This record gives sequence, C-alpha cells and structure tokens, in this order.
Amino acid sequence: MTSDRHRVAVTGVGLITPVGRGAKEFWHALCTAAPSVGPIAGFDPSWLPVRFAAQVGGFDAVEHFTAREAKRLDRATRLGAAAAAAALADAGPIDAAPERWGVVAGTGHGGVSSFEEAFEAAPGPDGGVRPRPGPLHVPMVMANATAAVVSMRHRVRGPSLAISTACASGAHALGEGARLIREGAADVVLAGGTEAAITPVTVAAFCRLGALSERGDDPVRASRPFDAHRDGFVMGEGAGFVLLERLDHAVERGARRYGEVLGYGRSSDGYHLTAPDPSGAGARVCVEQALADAGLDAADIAHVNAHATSTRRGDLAEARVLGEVFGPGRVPVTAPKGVTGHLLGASGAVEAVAALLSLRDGIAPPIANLDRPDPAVELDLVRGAPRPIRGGPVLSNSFGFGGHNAALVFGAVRA
Amino acid sequence: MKHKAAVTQQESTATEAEREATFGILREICVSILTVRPEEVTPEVSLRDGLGADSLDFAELSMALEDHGVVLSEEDVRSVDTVADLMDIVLRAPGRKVSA
Repeated sequence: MTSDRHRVAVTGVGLITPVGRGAKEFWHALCTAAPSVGPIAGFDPSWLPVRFAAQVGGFDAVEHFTAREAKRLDRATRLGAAAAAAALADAGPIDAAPERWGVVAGTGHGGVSSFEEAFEAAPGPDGGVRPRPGPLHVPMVMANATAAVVSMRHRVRGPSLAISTACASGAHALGEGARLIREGAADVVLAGGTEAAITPVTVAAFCRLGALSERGDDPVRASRPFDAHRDGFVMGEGAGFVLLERLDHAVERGARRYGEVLGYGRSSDGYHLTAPDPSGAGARVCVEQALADAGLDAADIAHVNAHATSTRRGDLAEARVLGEVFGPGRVPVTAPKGVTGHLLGASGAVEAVAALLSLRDGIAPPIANLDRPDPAVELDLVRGAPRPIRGGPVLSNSFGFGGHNAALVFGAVRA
Repeated sequence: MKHKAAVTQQESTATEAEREATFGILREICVSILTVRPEEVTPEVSLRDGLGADSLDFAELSMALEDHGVVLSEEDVRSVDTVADLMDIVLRAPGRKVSA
C-alpha cells in the first residue's frame, strides 16, 4: 500500500436480501447455512423450466419512500436506495459538505421489470400488441437510476456513478467508490449494488443459457457452490450498500469501523460473453492485483469469500485460481451464494459485507448444501458449521458475464 | 384577449353535466399521477404549486389525457395553472371523449 493516498474505512452497511435485512439477520442466516428459496411469486412461472428463486419477501416500498417517490422507481432502484439509506443510518451522523459525498451504484440489469412491463401494453396493428412506454419509462429503466436517486435523496453533490459489469457490478462499485476517496475526489461514498431481475423475460433468458439450477424438487438445496452435484445458480434479488469513509474522517468522529479497504483488483478475461476462461488467467490477475494493491502476500490472507455461483464451469475456474494463488487447501474458503442465491449485480456488495463480518467476528460461515465437495476442487472449503479464522485480511471475489473480474481485500483497521 | 374570449365562448357550450364528468375524470387522473388525495383536487388548486406537479407529471398527464382523445400542446402545458384551466382545455378539445 502506498502512503500517498487516503485510507478508506467501511463505517456503515445496509442489506436487503432474501435471507434478511441488515447485518444481523443476514449474518445469522449465513452462519446457520439457512437459504430462503421458494416459488417465484412476482409472476406466473408455470411455463418455465425453472420456477423458483431467492426473493426478497415483504419489502414494502411505503416504509422507505413516499407514494410519489415510489411510483417513479423500479423495484431494483427501490431495493438499492433503501439499502443505501440503511447503510447511511448505520454509519451514524456524518458532517461533510455535499460536494464531498459520492455514490457508486452497480446493477446488472437495471430497471428490467419496468422495461418488460412496457411491452405488449397497448393494442397494436393487425390485432396484435405494441409497446406503450410512459414518460417514466426512461428514468425507471436507466442503469444509473439508483445512483441518481441515492444522490437526490441524500444531497450528494460529488461524483455519482453507475457501474454495470454483470455479476461483478456490486464489487466494482465498492472498489471504484474506494478509489474516489483514495484519490481525494470525495470523503464519503455510498457504494453498493442492486438487482431485481426475477422477471418473466430475464428468468426465461437465463434458462435458455442453461445457467440456472433445475433442482425444482428441492429448491432450498439447489444453490450448492463447489458441490459435486451442483447444476447452476439460483436467481436471487436484493441490494447491498456500504458507507465508505476516509479513514481519518471516520476516526475523528469516533465512527465504528467494520474494516478497511486494503486492496482492489480489476481485470478482464478477454475470453467469452458468458463462459469463464477455464484457465482462470484473467481472474488470477485480478486477485493478484488486489493483493499487490493491499501490499500483501497470498500467505497473509486469512479467509476467502468466493464468488462461486454453483455453476459447473464457474466454480471450477475460480477453484483453480484460488489453488494457484494460495496453494491447494491453504486458506479457508466460503461461498455465500449457497445461502443467498445469486444476487447478480448486488452480489459483490452483499458478499463484501459478509467478508467484513467475517473479519469482525473472526469466523467464516459454512457453505450451504455442500454435501460432497467436487473432487476436482482442491480447496479448504468451510463446511457444516462456522469456522474460527485467524486474524488477518480477507478477500472477496466477484466475476461477471463478459469476463469482468473484481477482487476486494479488507483488513481490520489499524488506525 | 381574443383567444381568451373564444375560450369563454366554448366553455359556455359545455353543459354542467359535461363539466362535472370532466372534472371527475381529471380528479381521478390527478390522484393517480400526482399521488394526492381526491379532496386535494379542486378546480382552483394550482397543479404545480398546490399539487406539486413537475415536468414528468405533466408528461404523464398528457399521456393519460390521450386515452380520452385529448392532445395537450406544449403551449397548453405552459399556460395551464389550475385544474380548472386543464378542464377548459379538455372541454374545448375537438376529439375529447371524456363525457361519454
């Protein structure tokens, strides 16, 4: 770590996930390996090969927005903005000028449910149907809607940016947010990811790609990272945000610190639109960058929070990278998606919070549904019960369709 | 002034029943688009200052009125202040279907 940049602390977290709101509920679900996967509730999925998902239940927009605000926000933006507000509330009062605040919001699909609703909305030629978008369509579907709304609600006058790198969006948002603080462009940044893509077209499309688990007879056990019988990921939705703060600023106000952003890596596979590079070359560069950025060796890392989505090829590619970088079985690895499902553009931010909670409590949660580890995976996989981990920095990986890679290293704050 | 006189003359051709039906529809549209309570929508209330309508709301109002055969011009949107103003525009619109 170079000394000519500002250090960045995480001083607030906000989560809206299928397994709970807020760090406490979420962490309990992870540590008890308790997934929440059920029949798709938002539309009739009877025509689809996959009819289950990890959904955020009971999210009532009126608890977070005025009716007037809510009608202008897609579900993805509602989840994201509510998570951002929760992260802000968690961080406590902060005194910083509006132009010193920033927001970086990641999403893979943006306001996709609003997009789909505009189709077939009006009688069209020849007795068919045609789209009938209203004036709210563009502001509701645009990929930057969450970044915009968070900036409006919290009087952010510094940088506000949207990141869209598929399933790495949330992690890239945290990394780029940290960079804004490091380089002096902001003192406080709300950074995170959101996704609400459990919609007819999007679920059907992921089915067509063969990306989803088809374990319809046992959906709670469908997401099984690194397990020999894994058969795809489970669609999830939700949002995670953190409050990133210049470390000296956080220390000065006596803020609670979940951890420090020590390192950030980002790379590309440069390989395929959807498939991971089986050699893991791009992902390896990413992990190594994050370690170098943190000024750490692989042996310093106490725990890895893997991206592992429960797909055949993705988990193998990541296992290969981790084996190469850390040595086979040298570092305890967990994979939250066994519990959460795959929150796509939100997953990187939500899992960064999981990594921070591991750091805080000194434990790694077990991988859910890992009955029989894939014999091709030579990793120290945390199974059964939470495992105490030694003190030391933790790594969280995120990889997205398109070969977008992100890796974050968090450490305890040594102020 | 000439324009205003023409409007007044047109207004007078609308029956009380037509005016009432139109107001009812406008009230419904305002409640749904501006997320206000029905009793807040009176003929005298200002759409912008009283009911908080902004440019996006006016675009939505225009779209909702299309369903009733009324096309708002940019000039209409610029000039309109109160719900009664909007009602006058609707009542003099040639294609209106609001009283049906």
